[in-house]
Amino acid sequence: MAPAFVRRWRDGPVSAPGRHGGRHTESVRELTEHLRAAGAEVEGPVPAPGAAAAVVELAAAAPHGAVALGAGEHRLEALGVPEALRAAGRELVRPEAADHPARLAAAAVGLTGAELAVAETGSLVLAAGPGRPRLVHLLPDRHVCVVEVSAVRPTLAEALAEIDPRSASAWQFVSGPSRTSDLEMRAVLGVHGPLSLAVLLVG
Amino acid sequence: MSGALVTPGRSVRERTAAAVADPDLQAALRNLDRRLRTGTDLARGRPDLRSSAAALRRRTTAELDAHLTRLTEALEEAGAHVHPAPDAAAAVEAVLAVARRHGVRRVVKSKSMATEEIGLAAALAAAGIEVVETDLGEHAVQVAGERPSHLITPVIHKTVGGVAATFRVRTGAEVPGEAESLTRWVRDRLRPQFAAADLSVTGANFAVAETGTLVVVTNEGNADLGMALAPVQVAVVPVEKVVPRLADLAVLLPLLTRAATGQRCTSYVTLVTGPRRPGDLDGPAELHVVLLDNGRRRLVGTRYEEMLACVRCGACLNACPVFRHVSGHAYDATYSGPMGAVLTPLLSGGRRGAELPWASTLCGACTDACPVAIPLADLLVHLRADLRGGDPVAPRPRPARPRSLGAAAWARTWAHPAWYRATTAVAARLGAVVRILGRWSGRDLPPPAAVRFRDWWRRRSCGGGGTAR
Repeated sequence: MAPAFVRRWRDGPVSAPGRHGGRHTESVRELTEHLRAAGAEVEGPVPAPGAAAAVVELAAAAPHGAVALGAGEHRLEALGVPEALRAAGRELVRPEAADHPARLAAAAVGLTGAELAVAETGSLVLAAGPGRPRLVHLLPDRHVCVVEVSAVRPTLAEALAEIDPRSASAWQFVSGPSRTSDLEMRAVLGVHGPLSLAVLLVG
Repeated sequence: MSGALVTPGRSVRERTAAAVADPDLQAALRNLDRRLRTGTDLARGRPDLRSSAAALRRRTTAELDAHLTRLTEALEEAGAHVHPAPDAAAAVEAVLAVARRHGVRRVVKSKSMATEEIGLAAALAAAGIEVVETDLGEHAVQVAGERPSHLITPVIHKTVGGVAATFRVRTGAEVPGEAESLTRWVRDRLRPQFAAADLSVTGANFAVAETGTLVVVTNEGNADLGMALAPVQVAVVPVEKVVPRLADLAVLLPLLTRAATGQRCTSYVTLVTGPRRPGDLDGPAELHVVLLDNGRRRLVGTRYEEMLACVRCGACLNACPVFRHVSGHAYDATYSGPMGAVLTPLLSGGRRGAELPWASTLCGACTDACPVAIPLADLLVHLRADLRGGDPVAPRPRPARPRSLGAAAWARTWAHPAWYRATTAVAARLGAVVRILGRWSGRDLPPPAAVRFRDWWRRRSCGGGGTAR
């Protein structure tokens, strides 16, 4: 193996996420594989300009009801997702509707953007906060989550190193749709939270 | 079972006999095969995780009080109210006080063994508060008026059909008898309960001392719904759940989920730090943490300290040949299986479950399966001895009575190779006598081999390839 300084010159600085070359591509592949194994649908990676259309398509699997916007809304706006959904004729529910859980529960889709994702455990990391209610991905039947490829970390240790849990009242690691194996130790999807989880990788 | 670890009942011998004779229970217990190897697979597949977790947990428990001080400070800094509870009664009273102050009428609970241990649901109900268990299996147990039979899978003692039948009888509703539709039925039944709750009660799988963060692990999302919707949250957290740093979760979380259900990660892992903040759109306005001791801190510094490393994954239950034949109810304790047989007498100072360490074959499957390498089989042996004097961790002088003369003479005789040779040679010729002695003493004393190993070995090495017969 080449010495470290040669590798750095060849592969770019190791500290910059998204520029790891091989290792990062491997992480995205691993994340996809682990999420699928847990019962999630995974699309992409798609380039940023195509993201809005892809979200509309993933939301279309649950056509009856509104789309609730949640964690990471600012990212969704940068990608043009809300406009594309409106253009597709979807009714949108603003995050502030968390004050009226019944409105969220009536929505067909909860749409979030992940702060980070963890390949090792197949997890999407969501932070609660202003504009990012916890309920938006819990109450609707379908959870659609947008993940930027640059936000994928290979291991849980690396993701935790970037998180200060004190910065939000809740950090949620979501690794699949709501599931139980209480009945005869066999997996059934969709208990209290969403029946399905769809993940769109962007970048 | 208000406040009690164990309800009085028949002896463990009678309960196990009844369990083995119950065909419905035996049919349901076959499902344990699906998780037979979660613990041993982890130990073999990720020995690195196991060894670092085992070391980390032991370092933490050795300095438990220091970590608890740090945790308390960090929790309060984050805006949580901390209630140290020396025993079950104090913990229950702390929760009741919060409920009274907020005029709570409805509680949604997510599954937590600590709340089972202190009998919280019964105490709340006695105070006129409606309690709804929201974990699917735990809900089935509650509706049936039973107690959980497994740490992770509380209704493992029933088949899907048995669960559906219970719901049908108790609710009078048309309940589907198949897993998917039964799950939807429970979902629809419980959704309104979450919205109507005044208080959510959770446990915590870990509590991070450095940041005052509670870690809540579920697959169903029931704890998250309860925490997000109810205006007040109480978390009942046993003291040994403390971990020093956030980074420790990188080891402990994958370890717990792999050992418990074989998953890389459960569907929901939530890090809770303090109550709702300005600008937050949901989450509890008040967060209370009950730090439950109830006989744990006194284990520090004793030979049983290692038991505080337990992460409640249930791997030892799944691997245990006794548990797999009788299930949790036969133990008649909050905690069952090998870890329950160790923990129950320890937490109660020997007053409860003193017969449980004997309900084991000492095969060691539990020790092999334990993701934090607790020598459960060794602890069971220690307990068999220590429980004879009542409280197994009370300091006591060495027994005044010397070993029996017979045992002392036996030990001296067999300490010399020549005497050992001579006596075993005699025993080999007196197989019938030994058999009769065995029957007379009521023990399964195996008859001595007709040919001693040393004779067989000598014949083999000198006579060139003789066989054991």
